Amino acid sequence: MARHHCVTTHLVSDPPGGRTMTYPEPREWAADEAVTHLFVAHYRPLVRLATLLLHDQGAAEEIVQDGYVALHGRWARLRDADKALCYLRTSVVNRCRSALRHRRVVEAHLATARPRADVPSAEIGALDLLRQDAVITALRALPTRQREAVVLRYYAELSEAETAALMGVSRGAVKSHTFRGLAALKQSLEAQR
Amino acid sequence: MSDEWNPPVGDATMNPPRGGDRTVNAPRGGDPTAGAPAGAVGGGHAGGRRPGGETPPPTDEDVLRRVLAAYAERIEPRPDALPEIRRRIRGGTRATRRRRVPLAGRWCGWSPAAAGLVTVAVLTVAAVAVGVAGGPPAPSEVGPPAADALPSPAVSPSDSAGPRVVPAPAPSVVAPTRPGGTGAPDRRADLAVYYLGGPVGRPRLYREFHRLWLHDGSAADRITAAVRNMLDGPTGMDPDYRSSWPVGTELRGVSVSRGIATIDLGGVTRHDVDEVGARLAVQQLVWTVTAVPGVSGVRLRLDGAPADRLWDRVEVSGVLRRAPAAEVLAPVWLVSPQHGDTVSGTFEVHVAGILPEATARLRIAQGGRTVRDQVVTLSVAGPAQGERRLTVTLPPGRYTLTAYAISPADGGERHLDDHLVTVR
Repeated sequence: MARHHCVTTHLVSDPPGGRTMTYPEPREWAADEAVTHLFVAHYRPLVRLATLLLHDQGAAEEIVQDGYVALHGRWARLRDADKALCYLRTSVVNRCRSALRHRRVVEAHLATARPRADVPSAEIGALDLLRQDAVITALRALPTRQREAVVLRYYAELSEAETAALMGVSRGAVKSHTFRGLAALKQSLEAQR
Repeated sequence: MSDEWNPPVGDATMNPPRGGDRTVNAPRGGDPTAGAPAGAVGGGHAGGRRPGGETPPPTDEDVLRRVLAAYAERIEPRPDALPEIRRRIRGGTRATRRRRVPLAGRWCGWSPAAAGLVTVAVLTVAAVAVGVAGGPPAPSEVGPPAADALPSPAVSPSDSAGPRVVPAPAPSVVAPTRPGGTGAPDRRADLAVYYLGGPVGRPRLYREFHRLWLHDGSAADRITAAVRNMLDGPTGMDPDYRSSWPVGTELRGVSVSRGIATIDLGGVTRHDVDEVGARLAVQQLVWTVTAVPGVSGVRLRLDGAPADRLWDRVEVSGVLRRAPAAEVLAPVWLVSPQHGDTVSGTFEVHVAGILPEATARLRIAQGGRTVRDQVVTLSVAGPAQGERRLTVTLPPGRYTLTAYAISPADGGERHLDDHLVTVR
């Protein structure tokens, strides 16, 4: 019943260290134009968000693209860059969750895998990166909801209320998912200190 | 929905520990309009949330932010995405009907060659498949709050109504040139299918979500899949849920125009039911059909001809609509897990109900022994359908989850909906 209220904001930041941008007059955008603008502003951070949730960049890109395609058909009703971002984020998180559910078998397999601390990173063998990977591996092993809460709060930097609206759960649930997620990551995080 | 409730005291045992929350999430009531988490985490660290900018010592949260940011920096999307999106947008508006790909065997493996295809198939259903428990309500002009067509992402209700994301016709529908690049030739979606359950003399509707294959994803396509599935067997996945349509009923055709679906059924001429049963059978069909987004009414045809009466029991002329939820839906639904599901150790239980006091109960039993039995306070009281999600943690094993209500009159258990669930 209670439709999820998208908490929107006029400043949209490309998370950590990214630029902050304001929008001109999105109401005048046609759907094609809106997709282009929103693509430029948000595609990369959304792919990163989806990749953190899914651990599969190819699938993440596909999901985000799905989101834009759906947005295009929806633009006449949205007509607002903030709502559009909210829509895109929700769409991406939902689609990731769904994809994970479908991949349950694979996922279960991954979850049982030990953190691969002894496997060198494909990119660089730097100790720092290896430790980061341990955190990412631990993140991957979290239950879906906990991972969502953790990624939305600490990567996308959404507030508790925004995260709750986006995940379609109560703020209390966001708190507990975040708390549990952090607790599960604690060991790998402490190695980072 | 579940977003505004505060867990009532009676549920404390099943909700995550609340005391610990405070140590992690500091300021309550952070201004939700402030964009970035207002003061978010760690109390006094509000100024130190950006990587590298915090004052020592770094908290776990700070370290996590840094790691996530650093990891994300390494993710660089492929450059050709915008043209790809545009191409798919153009393809989608054409609503091309694609030929069906035989499925058996093709999707089963997880070989690297198949992986791309599987991924695509998985992903394109995402909008509708978010699942049994999830998301904002469907377009519920007539529907109950517990959404049928689950989670279209926020904002507007009919995400999956139109022809969506239909890729432009490709030379080969079977093998997209770039793995994960083109749209899926076929896909599946979780569609709502209604059944009758409860006492034989006083049945009510229950709902299951069935993962079904679609062709073009149109409303007619979804209705066809759901109704075929409904007519397919005498029961749902839960053997307690039965179809009120006689075996042998077949779906001859479906068309959708202006939100009204015309359903042509064959083989329904005789059926020995009373008026209540006939009325519920019609409602079973109507609720199943109108669970598809964008469809709000049903015209029934029998063997190709407009129908006036069904089984000589009920009027079925004109446009049939959903009867009020309180009159036809079962007072208690255990929405998820569904009967026969396998879940992980910590999982969500989703209960819905139309109850005057908004108070249901949930019992978890293993081998006849009750592990847990607790009050579940729903979001709203009847005649609306309230709901509630709980997080439950159980050791591996097989359990019977039963959602039910206590009769205020005699204290007896009523409206039991039980599902056998495996916790792995």
